[in-house]
Amino acid sequence: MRARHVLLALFLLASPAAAQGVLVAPPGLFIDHGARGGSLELYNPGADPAEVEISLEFGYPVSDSTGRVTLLMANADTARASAARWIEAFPRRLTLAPRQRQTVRLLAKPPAGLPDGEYWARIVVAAKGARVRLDSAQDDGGIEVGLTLNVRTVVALLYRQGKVATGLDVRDTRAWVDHDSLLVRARFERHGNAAFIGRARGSLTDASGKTVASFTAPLAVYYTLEPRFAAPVRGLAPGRYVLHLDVDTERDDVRRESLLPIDALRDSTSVLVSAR
Amino acid sequence: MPRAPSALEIAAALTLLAVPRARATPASARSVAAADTGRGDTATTEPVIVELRVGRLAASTVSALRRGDDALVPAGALLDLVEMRHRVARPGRMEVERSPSEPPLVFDTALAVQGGGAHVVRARVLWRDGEIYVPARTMGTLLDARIVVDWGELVITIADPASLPIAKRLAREAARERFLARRRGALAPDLRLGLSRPAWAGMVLDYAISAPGDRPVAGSDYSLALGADVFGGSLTGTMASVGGASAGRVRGEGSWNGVWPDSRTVQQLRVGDAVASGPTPRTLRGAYVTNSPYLRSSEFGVLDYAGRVLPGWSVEAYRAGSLVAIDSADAAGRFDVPLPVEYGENPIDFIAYGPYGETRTLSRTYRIGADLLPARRFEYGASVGACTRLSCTETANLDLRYGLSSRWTLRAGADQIARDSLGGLFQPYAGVTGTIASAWTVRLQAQRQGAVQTTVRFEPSLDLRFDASWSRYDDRVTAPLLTPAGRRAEWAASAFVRPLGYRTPLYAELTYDRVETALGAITRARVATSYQRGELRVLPYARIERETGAGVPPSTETFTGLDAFFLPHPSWGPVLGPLWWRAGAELSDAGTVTASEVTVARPIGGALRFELGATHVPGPHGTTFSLTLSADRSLLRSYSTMVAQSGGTPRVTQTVQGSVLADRATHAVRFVPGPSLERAGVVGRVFLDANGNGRFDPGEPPLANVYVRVGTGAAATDSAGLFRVWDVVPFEPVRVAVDSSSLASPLWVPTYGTLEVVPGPNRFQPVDVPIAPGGIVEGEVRLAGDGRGVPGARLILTNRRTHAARAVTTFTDGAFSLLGVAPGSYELGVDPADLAVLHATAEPVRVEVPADVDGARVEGVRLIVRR
Repeated sequence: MRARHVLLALFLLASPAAAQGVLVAPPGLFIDHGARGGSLELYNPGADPAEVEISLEFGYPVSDSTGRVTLLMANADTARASAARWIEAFPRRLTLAPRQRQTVRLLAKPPAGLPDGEYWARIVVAAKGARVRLDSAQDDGGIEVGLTLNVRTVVALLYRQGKVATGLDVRDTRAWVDHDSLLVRARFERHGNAAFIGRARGSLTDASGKTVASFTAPLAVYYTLEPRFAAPVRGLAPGRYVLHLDVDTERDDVRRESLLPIDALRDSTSVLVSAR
Repeated sequence: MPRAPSALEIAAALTLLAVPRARATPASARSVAAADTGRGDTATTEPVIVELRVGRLAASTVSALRRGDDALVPAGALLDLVEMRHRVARPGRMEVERSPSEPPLVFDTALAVQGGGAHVVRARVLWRDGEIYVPARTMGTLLDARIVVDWGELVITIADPASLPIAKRLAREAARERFLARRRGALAPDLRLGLSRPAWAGMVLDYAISAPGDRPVAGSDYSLALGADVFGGSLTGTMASVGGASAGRVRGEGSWNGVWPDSRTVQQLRVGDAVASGPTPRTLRGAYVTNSPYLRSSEFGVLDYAGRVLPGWSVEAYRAGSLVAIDSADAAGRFDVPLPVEYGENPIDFIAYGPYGETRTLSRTYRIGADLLPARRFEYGASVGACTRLSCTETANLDLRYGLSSRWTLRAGADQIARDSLGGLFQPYAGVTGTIASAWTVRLQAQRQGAVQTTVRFEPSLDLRFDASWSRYDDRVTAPLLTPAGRRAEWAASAFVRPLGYRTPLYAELTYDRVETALGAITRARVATSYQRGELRVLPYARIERETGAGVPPSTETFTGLDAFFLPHPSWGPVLGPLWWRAGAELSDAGTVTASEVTVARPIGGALRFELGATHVPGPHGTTFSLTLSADRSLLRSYSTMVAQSGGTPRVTQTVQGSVLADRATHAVRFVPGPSLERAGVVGRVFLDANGNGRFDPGEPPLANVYVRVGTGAAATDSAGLFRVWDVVPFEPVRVAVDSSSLASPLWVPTYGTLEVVPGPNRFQPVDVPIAPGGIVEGEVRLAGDGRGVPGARLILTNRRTHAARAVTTFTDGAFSLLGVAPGSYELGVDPADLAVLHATAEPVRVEVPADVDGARVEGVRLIVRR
């Protein structure tokens, strides 16, 4: 397995943007087995042409010991849940003129007898400058190539076959105040045969029940995840507080029919703020 | 086409436009100049390398200065990036050109103050190593753009560069690309199927039945119309009850209408019940023939528009926001744009662009009257037959029209009318219609034993219109048929103005008309305004009516009124939000209400609509209530109406309307709402053309759920691959195109990119839509010798049988990829123009793409470039 820090574009944590100029939408793609296909929209808003290469890899978000979430890119050929080896993008390479839009279609050819469940892939859209000109006056064989930064945008792809369901357990919720930040960690374990896509909301209340800090963060759990959430707190009086952590499947950036519902989860833990 | 008499007009107008702006004194601090108060103070600054971004349009890595959290951006580098012309007048002073109508922007380290009322922005400007450094915030203020400094990422971004020259240039280039793409798209289709003329095909039955609630059978009215395609023409027959079914009276009509769109001599022939040719339409039973098109294209032609700007400038013409013509000024500054114009109003915006984003604008409205013909076009119309409505026995007309130029059309002809007892009328006529300059339209016509009529319209823009007409009738004719009996003269005038421009919600209009008859005269005048705010539009008005007559004292009445419309307001919720309101009331000069009404309507679901209204008129009828429930279902339309007057019995009427279509091609019968007579449809099958012969053969799979566009309509194919679209115009070409994104495989490609059919009347036109199982061709272009890839080379793939060609450009590593290549034998070569640049040769290679339903993949194609 090899881990890569690919932009900050974990599934549905990212806006559909890339600095080099090629925008990719939607930020996540759900393909139903009946449709066998989907499409991505590419747009080059820049003033220069962009050369784009699209590939599919297998990856999912994991958390490290500090709670930082990264994308783990794994072997697509051996992973059971990988859809990367049997989904293909058309076209795989293209040049986008300035302000040109292009639809990239994805065609799935799943193996026969694919068991019910959700299969995952990451669509990697690599873009770089394509300013190229042919000029006989050059000494280097009459060819000049202008290359710019190669920027990769990663889009999650979830392929659903048959009955799919998801569920989530939350445990080991703990929270503490570090300087001017409230830090929260919890361990999420997904069950069912599909990834959990939803959000986590936290609120810190004082003894009177008044909310003194809160946060909302998107949450995607493929296997297990122990992320860290943070919220600013300022001028917090010493004392005992309670952190409530709620998890549900409300997402503004995903079509409602693509979300797999679960019963809302709630956990809480106490937070002691001592005098400095 | 004659040249518009305004060769210098645009240049003059552009200059005039520039003057007042140049004289304007800037009122805001962002307008004119910046000067320093720091005098080169560099003690607290440190150099930083940052990326300077202009939105997503351009970026450059530059050396800037950091002073605390402030950034001082290099003005020259930034101005280069946003494409603003500038120069260093002397060390420490930079002058930036903006539009010539605006004073220059000046950065000066010596606390310079511009004259002429210039406003000064004081800021700490630095001069270092031949560059002026300006605080980012100040620069943003001066450029009217927000500049965001991100010290974490070392990025300085102009967040909203839309008003900067670079953004305008790119937007302009995008508009040009769209314009050129539209022009390319207007080329001939890949396949055109002309009008077929079967002996008999298709069948359409229109029906409409209206039944009152108290006598649903005896009191009902009905109409039936049957149509078919016979020898390529429309054969129709109609019958309708007269005075209720119980009266037993039926009116019948029938005709055959043939159309020959490509003929120069006869384009339409109608036999049977028809409308007479000429300027005075009337029904007759006989024949009508003309070389006028069945459906006149909205495109009138091209007017040349010439002018002068500065050398190096370019000129674009926009019609309704869409680019329609472009040209560049020659060395003398002359330009000439061929301006495509349509019948009706043509509001044209001319925009001239300078090399550094300077702009000049000029707006003109061209009106092409419906009576005008393109230059040197001759049209005739002739009709003869028995009178069916007028009080005459026979009637005939010969009508001739000739486009003298693109601005003047002559008309002449004669009407002949035979009457039983009063003797015949022979009424020759002649007239002329024309436009003067771009704003004036004139029409003159005189007819013997008829009328002399004059119409003038002045319409310099969409915001101002004035019409006036005068008619003098020959009142010596007894019982005239083509003019109103007893009428002597008629005056009419109207004016329309939008005082704040055509994008504003306010307009005013004034109408006046006066009719003189043998008995007296009636004069009416009305002045009204309209203003819209949000969902509410109010239209207050005042009107006057004056009647005079011999032996009768003149009477004058004045009225004031108010009409109001309230459009749906979604924030009022799902119940009240969709409501549509209309209300009105009118007061007489005596202060009494002469009429008032209120109506409320809303949709119910997707196909139902209800409307509830109340109208009050003083007098015996009092208040009338009405309730209408209309349903537009997929099979028919239905209207249920209930009307109740104060003290009366409510009356209920039920009306249904629709049509039945018989499709011989698929042996199917369809029911559709609304009338269908003399309309047409397209039916077809989308299939995977495995053998590539373009026809649907047994064993070839039909394709379901494919989206097909037919003209402005669309349909998805069913499980048999069939699609049907009804209600297209017969005799006129309509484009059929497949939405390739709806094809199951991205490798499949429509055999015909654009397919055009001419449907016959009253029937579905069958057309097969083959889809080729395309493939992928991939490979690379390499240099002989070191084997390096050749990037940016244009390759041409030519079908060896059809010679159809498509191009692709190699990527930066010399590789190429072609998607959706139809099965066949091809030759792939490097564009000779590219080889000439490289002083190289490259042997074309042969590529065979097999037919494979799953998509063929041809990889490893290699082209070698030798120098």
